[in-house]
Amino acid sequence: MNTKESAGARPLTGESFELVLDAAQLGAGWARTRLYETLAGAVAGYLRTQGVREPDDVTSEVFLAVFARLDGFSGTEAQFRSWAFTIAHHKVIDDRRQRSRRPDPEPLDAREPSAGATATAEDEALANLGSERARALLGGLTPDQRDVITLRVLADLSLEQVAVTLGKPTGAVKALQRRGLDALRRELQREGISR
Amino acid sequence: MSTPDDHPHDMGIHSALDDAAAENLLAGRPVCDDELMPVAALLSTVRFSAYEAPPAPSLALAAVLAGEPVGATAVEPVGATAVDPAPRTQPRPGALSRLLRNVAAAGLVAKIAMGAGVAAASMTGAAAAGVLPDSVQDAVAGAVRAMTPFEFPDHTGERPLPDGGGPLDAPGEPATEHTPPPDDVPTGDPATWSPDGFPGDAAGDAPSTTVGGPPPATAPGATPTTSVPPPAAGGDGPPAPPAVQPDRAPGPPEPAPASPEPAPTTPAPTTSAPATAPAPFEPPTTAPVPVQPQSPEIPEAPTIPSAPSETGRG
Repeated sequence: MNTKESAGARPLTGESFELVLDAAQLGAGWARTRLYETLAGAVAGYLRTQGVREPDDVTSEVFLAVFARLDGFSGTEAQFRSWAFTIAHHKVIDDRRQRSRRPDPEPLDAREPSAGATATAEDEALANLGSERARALLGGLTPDQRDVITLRVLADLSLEQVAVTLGKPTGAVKALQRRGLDALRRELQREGISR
Repeated sequence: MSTPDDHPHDMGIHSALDDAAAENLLAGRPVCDDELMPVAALLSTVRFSAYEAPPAPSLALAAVLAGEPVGATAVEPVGATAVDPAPRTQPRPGALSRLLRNVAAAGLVAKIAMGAGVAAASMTGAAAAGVLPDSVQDAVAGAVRAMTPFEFPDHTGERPLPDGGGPLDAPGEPATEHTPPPDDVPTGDPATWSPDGFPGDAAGDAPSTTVGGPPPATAPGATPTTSVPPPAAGGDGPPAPPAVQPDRAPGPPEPAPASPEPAPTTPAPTTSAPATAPAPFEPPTTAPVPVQPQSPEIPEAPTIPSAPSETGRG
C-alpha cells in the first residue's frame, strides 16, 4: 500500500489521525477542518485534472458527503484518503454523464496556441509545462487511463486502492497505467519536448 | 489527440516502459531513461497541483467545518455506481472513550489543547476544592493520591503531606487554606473515569460533582477536622474529629466504598506505627502502647568448663 504523502499537504501521522478522526466523528469543527485542509487541495486538483466543471464547488460536495458518512468510517489515514477519492471519483462520473447530455462549450484543452504564435513561442509554451498544459495532455488520454494516472499521482493511492476505487481488477489497472504513461511519452516525444 | 491503447509500438516508437518504470514514474522516483524524463516532468507538474491551497468551502461546508451537524445540504453522490464508496463497517463505538484514552496518553498539554481537560477539570477542580460529596470526595482523593503526585483533600478538607505524613495544618486553622492554587489543580486521570469515558457518566452516580454541592465538613473559620482515613460515610461527615491523622503510605487506588461505615469516634493513634493504604473500612484502633523494639534473643554464652586442676593431686 502506497503510504507516500504529498509534500504540500499536511499529512496526519498515524496516531494523530486517529485522534482527529475520533474528534471529527464527535462533531469537532477543528477536526473536520483539519481533515478538509489535508485532502481538499488534492481532491480539487484531481477534479480539475478530470475536467470537472466548477471543481471548487464539487470539492465542497465531496467533503459534505464525506462528513455525512464519517460515522461509518473506520480505518487508517490511507484508507480514509482512498475513501474520499472514491467519492470524488463518483462526482467525476456524474459530471461526465451530465456533460455527455449537455456538451461542455469549452473544450478540455482550450489553451491552444494562437495562430500568430511563432514556432519559438510555441516551443517555449510547450517547454514550460504548466498545470494547464499538463491537464491538456492528460485530456488526450482515455478516461480510464486518466482516472488511473491521476488517482495514482494526485490522490497518492496504491495500485490496489485504485483498483477498488474504480471497481476494476488490479491487473487491468496496471495495464491502464502502463498504456497511459506510454501514450504520454509518445505524445511528448511527438511534440519534441525533451530536456 | 487520440491515443491508441492497444498498439504501444505505433509509429515505430519503441516502448521503454515496463511495470517497474511505470511505478517509479507514478511514485515520483527518479528515472534513468531519457525517454521518460519528459513524462516524469509532466507528472511532477500534475502532482504539484495537489499542493495547491484548498479551495474556499461552500456555505454549507463552512457550517459543517464550524461544527454544525451535517444537515440537509449534505449532498449524497448522485448517480453513484453500484459500489458504495463508504466502507460499510460497523460504526465506531466508544469514539469518545477512545478519544479520551488517546488524550490521556498524549500528555497534559495535549489534553488541554484537545479540550478534553475542560471536562476533566470541572470534576477534578471540584475534587481539589473539596466540594464533592464525602464518598465521592474520598474516592477521588484516594485515586488521585495513588496515581498522581497531587494531593486532594478528603471530605474533611485535610490534605495529607506529600510524604504521607500528618495534616498540613494544625488544629484551629481554617480548611480554606488548603485550597490548592489553580496551577496545582491537575486535570485528573481519565483512566479513573467510568468505562464510558465521559466524566459525566462517572459523576452520574454521585449526588453532585459540581461546585455548589454538599459543603465540606469544615466551614471557613471552623475547627478543621483532622481525621483518620476517610470512611465511606453517607455524606454527613464524621461525627467527631479525631486528633491527628495517621500516616499514610501510598497504595493502590482504592475503589469507591460500597457501604458506609461508622465514623471513628476515638482519636487516632499518634505513634509512628505506619498505617496501611487508606482503608475506609478499617475502624480506628486504640492508641497502641509503644512497643519497645526487641532485640533478638541472645543466647547465653556457653560456659567453658574449667580445665581440671593439676595441683597436687595425686
